[in-house]
Amino acid sequence: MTKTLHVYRSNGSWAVKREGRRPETFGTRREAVQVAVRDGKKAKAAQVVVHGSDGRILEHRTYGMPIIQEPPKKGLVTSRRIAAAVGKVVLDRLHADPLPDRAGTPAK
Amino acid sequence: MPVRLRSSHIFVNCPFDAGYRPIFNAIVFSVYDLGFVARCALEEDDAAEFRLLKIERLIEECRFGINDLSAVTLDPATGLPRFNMPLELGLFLGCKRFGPANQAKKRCLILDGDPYRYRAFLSDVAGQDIRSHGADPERAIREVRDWLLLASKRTGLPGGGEIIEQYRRFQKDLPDICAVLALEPDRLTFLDLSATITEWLRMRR
Repeated sequence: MTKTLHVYRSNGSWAVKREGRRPETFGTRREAVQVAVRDGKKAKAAQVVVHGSDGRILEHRTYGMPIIQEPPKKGLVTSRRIAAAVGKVVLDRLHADPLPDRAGTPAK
Repeated sequence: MPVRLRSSHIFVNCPFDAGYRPIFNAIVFSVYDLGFVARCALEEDDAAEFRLLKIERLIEECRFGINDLSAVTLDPATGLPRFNMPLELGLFLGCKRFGPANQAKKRCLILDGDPYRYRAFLSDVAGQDIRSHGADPERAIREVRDWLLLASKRTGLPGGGEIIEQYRRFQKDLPDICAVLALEPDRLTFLDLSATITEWLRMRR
């Protein structure tokens, strides 16, 4: 199972989702981040990522796992473009994730 | 004034040609997933600086080195072996041995395709950390992880199986990421590959 708790905008509210799990929704970003951080702290190793509307990282926190270091230099493609491309693919994957029902069985 | 030795930086001394790319990408991915920084001669684009000076500077800055000798084979066109990797390994070991006191902290891993092939062309490196990846990227990941755990003495590093699982997921996502960027996955520069890996790890591990 992945260790990332994603917080992102969903239909006017904020969702907290771990891949393979049903998302929880909240009225505000602050509430969503609080829940994600609480779950992250409880886990042995986790990271919380708050996505902007284009998928890029607005906030990032790591619990019990190595912090990912910055590469040594900038490449030919701007880091902003790379962040947006990765963010788009990650959000697409989250939205396409088959959600398990409350008993934990994947939905058909 | 001695150059600052960066304790999280790893000099990756590996070939970068197409045939070797799967091993190279796997090593770079595991380095970042373990919380370190991959450094490589390919990150430099300043043509005014001599290539060897760039490499010397990189080696001097990095506490760790990963050296893959599997490309030391005879070139069919020239009938001669490629010797850049052993040269850079020699520079790394020389820097550790003869450099300022802080350089004595250097640690390096030597990889090859076969476990004992080095004895036929570089037997003087016997006694170093020499491992074989068998031309298998996932085995290379396990070797890098197990060596780095001992060499760095860091705790909380992910296991080899966990990194491999992440790497498989990254490989599935990479073509889609490159499609958004209008780039070809096999033609990413070292720095763009590094930026893509780090961004992906921050979002999806």
